[in-house]
Amino acid sequence: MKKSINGTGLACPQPVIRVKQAFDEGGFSTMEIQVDNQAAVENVTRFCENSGHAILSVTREGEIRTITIENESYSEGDAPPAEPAFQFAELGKGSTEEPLNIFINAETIGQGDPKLGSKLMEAFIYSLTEIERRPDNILMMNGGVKVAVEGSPCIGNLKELEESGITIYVCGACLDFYGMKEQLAVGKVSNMYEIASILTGKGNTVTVG
Amino acid sequence: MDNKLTQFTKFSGCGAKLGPALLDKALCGLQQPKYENMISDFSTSDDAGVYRINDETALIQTVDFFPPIVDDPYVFGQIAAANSLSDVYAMGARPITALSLVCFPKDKSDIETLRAMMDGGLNKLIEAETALLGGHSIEDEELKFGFSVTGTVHPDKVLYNNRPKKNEALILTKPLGTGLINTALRGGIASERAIEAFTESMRTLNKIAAEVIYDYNVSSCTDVTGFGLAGHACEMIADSEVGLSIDMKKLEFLPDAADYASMGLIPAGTYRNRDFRLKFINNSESLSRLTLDLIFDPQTSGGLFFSVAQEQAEELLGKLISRGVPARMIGTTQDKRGIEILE
Repeated sequence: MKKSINGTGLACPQPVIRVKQAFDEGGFSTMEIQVDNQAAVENVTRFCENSGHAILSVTREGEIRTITIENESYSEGDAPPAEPAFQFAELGKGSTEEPLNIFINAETIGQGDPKLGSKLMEAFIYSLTEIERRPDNILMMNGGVKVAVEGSPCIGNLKELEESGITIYVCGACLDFYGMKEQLAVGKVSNMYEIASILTGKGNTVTVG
Repeated sequence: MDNKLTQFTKFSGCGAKLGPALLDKALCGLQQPKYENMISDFSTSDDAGVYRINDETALIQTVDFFPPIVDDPYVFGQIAAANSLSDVYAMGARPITALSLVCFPKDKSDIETLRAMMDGGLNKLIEAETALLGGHSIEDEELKFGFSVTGTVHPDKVLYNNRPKKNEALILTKPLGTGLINTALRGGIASERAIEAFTESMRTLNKIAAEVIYDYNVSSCTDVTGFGLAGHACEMIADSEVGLSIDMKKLEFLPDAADYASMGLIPAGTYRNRDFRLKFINNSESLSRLTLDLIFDPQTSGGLFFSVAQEQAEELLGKLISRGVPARMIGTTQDKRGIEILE
């Protein structure tokens, strides 16, 4: 049994209250809640973490974030067996594979001439738009955040990737450090907790930089 | 008519404040002529503006208004007044006059609500020996209420918010957690004891605290409001060679506030405060999320937060407590710049 909650348009703290109420009532194996702001995602994350419910995924399309949560206390006998608990297809990825993360930790690719490295990064991001198996998440840290700020040759292709449903997480502390928060052109400002959660969560990670 | 004031509003209390990043961007670079007697204006982020009248007197001016943070209109009026008066106390001044500001949804609310709100405000102004000279009201979608308050102080006794010195103790005069309890209240799950404690704390004037610290060598003083304790601490040291060390174990929180943080009942303002100010905290990487959620919790009508010479701190703290102020010594200034949070 999957439960869906539409938490968009609800003022803080209603989304997390709805999640709490749903768990109090029970009767589902997974819950999907949609919210339209990052504070609601953080609030639901804290609730789940402290009440022992696992968050299976957080995806984002435009302003809409979809959080999928597991209900461990639900037993199969409670209701007719439902569809698999977690379907990537429903998240607009068109894939049932494990998530694929691309971790970009520098402005250029590889050691050597920085001009070449910059060209390689540009070509790599372009190639992501062409290859069949697109990643699910792109995560940027340290010098990697510069790939997503104004003036980067990769902005157009990154925007295309984002529009196709890929979530781009850009380290907020890194943007602050380089004084580039205002120049962020694509992706969402993220934090170490979120990035670490994704990298250590399900799926595979490819590191580039 | 439904008197559940907080259900009407999207934000409440100081959580309705514009985020610090947005405000900085909007005001950045704006200037006015340097008037000879103007001591502090909008370009500094102090609690109130300061203008010299003569060698004996400086004028302190401030304005603050916000949507309901509690359901009872009389109590909301009391809190709105206490909160507005607080900026004057935080400057070391004595409030003398006030003007009220009302945004009123006349189709959704009734005249008794308005009257009760004004009555509550007046109650606190009288306690503060401050004269209500008038006010202004407009019709609006959401109820909002507050005051512009004017005070006076000797120009040499003005307490700025950003001049801490070495070897000082940090004192905070009210417990923290009003943003969390307000969020739980809006979610319909705040406990009776939490609502009672936070209401009492918010409507308590900072008058006695201000009177007590007047006689001591206080170098920096502010009141803890929308930016949270850590946000206001950052403002204190932003341009300073001195840093602050704050001990979590010394902080007092309102009942159940920490539990609400664990449940994710966190106002959006907390995240805005944290994202904007986290870089000032030297050891932010090693801090738990609960710690960060608590220290960045936006406060409404919070306590005075000040630094005072170490050798006077114990005596001053004793005097505050003996006069019924729930003050705590929460840390010290330090030679190293930035802020250290001890967990």
